[in-house]
Amino acid sequence: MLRKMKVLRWLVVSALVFTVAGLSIAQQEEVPGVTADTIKLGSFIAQSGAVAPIGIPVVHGAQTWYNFINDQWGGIYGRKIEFIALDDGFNPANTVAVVKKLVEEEKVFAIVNPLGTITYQAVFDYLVQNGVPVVSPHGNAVFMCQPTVHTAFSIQPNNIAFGRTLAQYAVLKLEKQKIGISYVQDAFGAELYQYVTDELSKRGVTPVATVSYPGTETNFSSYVLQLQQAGAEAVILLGYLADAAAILREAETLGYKPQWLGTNTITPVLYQLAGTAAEDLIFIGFATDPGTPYHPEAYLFTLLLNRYFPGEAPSGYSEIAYIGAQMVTDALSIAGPDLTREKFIQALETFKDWEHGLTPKITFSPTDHCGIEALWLVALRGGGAVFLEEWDWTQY
Amino acid sequence: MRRFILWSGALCLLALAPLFLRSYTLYILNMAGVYLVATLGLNLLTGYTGQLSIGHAGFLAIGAYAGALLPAKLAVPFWLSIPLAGIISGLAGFILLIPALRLTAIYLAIATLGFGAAVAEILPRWTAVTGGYQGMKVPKAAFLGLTLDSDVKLYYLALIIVILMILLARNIVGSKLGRAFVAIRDQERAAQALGISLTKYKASAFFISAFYTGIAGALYSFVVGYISPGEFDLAKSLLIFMMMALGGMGSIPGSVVGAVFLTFLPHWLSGFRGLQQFIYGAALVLVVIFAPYGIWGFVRRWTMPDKLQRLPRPLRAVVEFVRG
Repeated sequence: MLRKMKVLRWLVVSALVFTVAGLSIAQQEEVPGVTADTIKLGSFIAQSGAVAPIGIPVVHGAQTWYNFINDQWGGIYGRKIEFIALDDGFNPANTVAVVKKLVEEEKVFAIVNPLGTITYQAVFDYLVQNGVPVVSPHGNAVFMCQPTVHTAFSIQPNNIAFGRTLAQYAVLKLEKQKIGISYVQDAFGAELYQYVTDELSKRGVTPVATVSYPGTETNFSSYVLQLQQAGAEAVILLGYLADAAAILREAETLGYKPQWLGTNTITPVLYQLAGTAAEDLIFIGFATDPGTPYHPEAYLFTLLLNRYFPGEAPSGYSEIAYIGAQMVTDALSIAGPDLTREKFIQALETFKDWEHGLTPKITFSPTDHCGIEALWLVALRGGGAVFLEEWDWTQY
Repeated sequence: MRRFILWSGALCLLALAPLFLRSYTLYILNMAGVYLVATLGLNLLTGYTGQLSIGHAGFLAIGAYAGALLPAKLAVPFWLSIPLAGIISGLAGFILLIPALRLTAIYLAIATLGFGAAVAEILPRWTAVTGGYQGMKVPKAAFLGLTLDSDVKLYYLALIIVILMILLARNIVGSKLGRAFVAIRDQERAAQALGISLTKYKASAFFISAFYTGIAGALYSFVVGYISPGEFDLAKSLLIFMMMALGGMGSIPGSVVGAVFLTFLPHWLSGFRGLQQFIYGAALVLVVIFAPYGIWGFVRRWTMPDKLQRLPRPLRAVVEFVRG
């Protein structure tokens, strides 16, 4: 009797052990983040702190598209997309923790729509080493797609494109020789400045005045005065929206009106902040303004955003996240029902002249994972944005 | 004997932790270790010597950049660069000595605030050395051919550093130096009258405190792997200050409690990050009103012999066992 019990106990224990072992081995062979009915996509986006006004629209923009795919078609090949956007407060030390959580605990399939340059930089090596695909980071830094990394894909043009396009446009198209530059003292402004000045020197042009200011600056009178006294005919603004508005207002009071040029941080909202001073500013965009009339794709975006986040005003931030999400779902779709990370990457590399009507064409290849290269020059006219032309800086 | 069992048990538990904790939790523990050492440093200065400082992120930054640049640019072996980073930071501490000898309380706090802001401005502009606003990647720590490239290995590094720094702090506090610190805190004039040189002891306090925070900064560099100037701002200084105040000013266990608790708190609240600032503020207010000596002060008060009688039996038994 005792013997039987002992044998029985051993049998039960062995069965349990082998089942657990079998299950864990089976787990390991599965693709991370993919089950029969879900695909887990992770992201790190600041939703608290100073960057929250950018981060929250980014989350909403991406979530809008993923919700639409889930609701309209039940997901991709029957798998609903679970978008886990964790808040890192734009603090790289937190980003490391958040990414570890996403990769090791949530076991996400890929990181999509992450926000930030220094935040992404802190976790870049870790994500590459762990073979986690990263798609559509929201930032302009050069390291994001150069040199090409097998698992990382960008959509936004980087600071090389922005800087060089601005310089080229000022010199070659607008034919200004006396150029002034203002840049904000942070990673964004500094990198842009580097490429603007490099391109200008290639064209044989030296800026007549360069001013730089800390991100917390509120009084721009001395900077604008410097630009005016140097006689700059065109001024390239390398900063954000609020500081651009302050500079424009200051210039207006001084009666100084050079040709203003700005980057992708400028939007028609500048009219609300700077009034008529914003008129005729030329800036670089790479996405159709959501309010563009007679544009079905732009309208769909505003419609869907309003459906899932009623009351949220469409902005460039939510729009680019929405487009990034489209890139992700298109690639998942091309990869097929038998989904693996490698197939996902290969699907992205098949993108040739990809666009959904809201951006210039994007082409990926095994050696080129950078997104938009050609940029759109837009002018602020009559309270709105007027498309001027497409400019491919690589052609000059 | 009982104490010995207790401490060895705790040590075993800590040493074996990586076996049953995820890499994510270990990373947060490593960060807790970093803040623990920084809080110890601030506590030695503010809690024990009474010199207010809300610019300690400056020392954290100096330690972090020194700890990253010494191996990266000068090929200093990492086991040397951590203590060297501490020393460099300690020497920077002498900068604050100048206002400290002339100013007290809130005015000294303002001077330290200025120091923190100055460091935060210098670092990104010294682009040749620090890599500017973009920040810089920290080379992996390597020791005798072993590269510390996982959270587990960094955990043991952090554990060793934390234990050493706690033991050192206990030593300082129990020594002549510690007694002089407390005398200066409690009654500066009386201390002077007793022949305690304010210059000498305040200098020691600032050096030691900055040294500790510098070591914490160097460890921070290796734990996170990437540093940028924007991280070492006033908010960081106030965070360390909060850890000290919440845990218990003038106590070493208090520093441990405060640092660990406030490091884990944001991750417990990860769904409610906006609430975090509110909780921090509320906690600080509550601590000042109800527990001016922090959580540890509160715990101590309620385990004093007279209060002990009021505790329920099992809790009393535990406390008495620990007391020995």
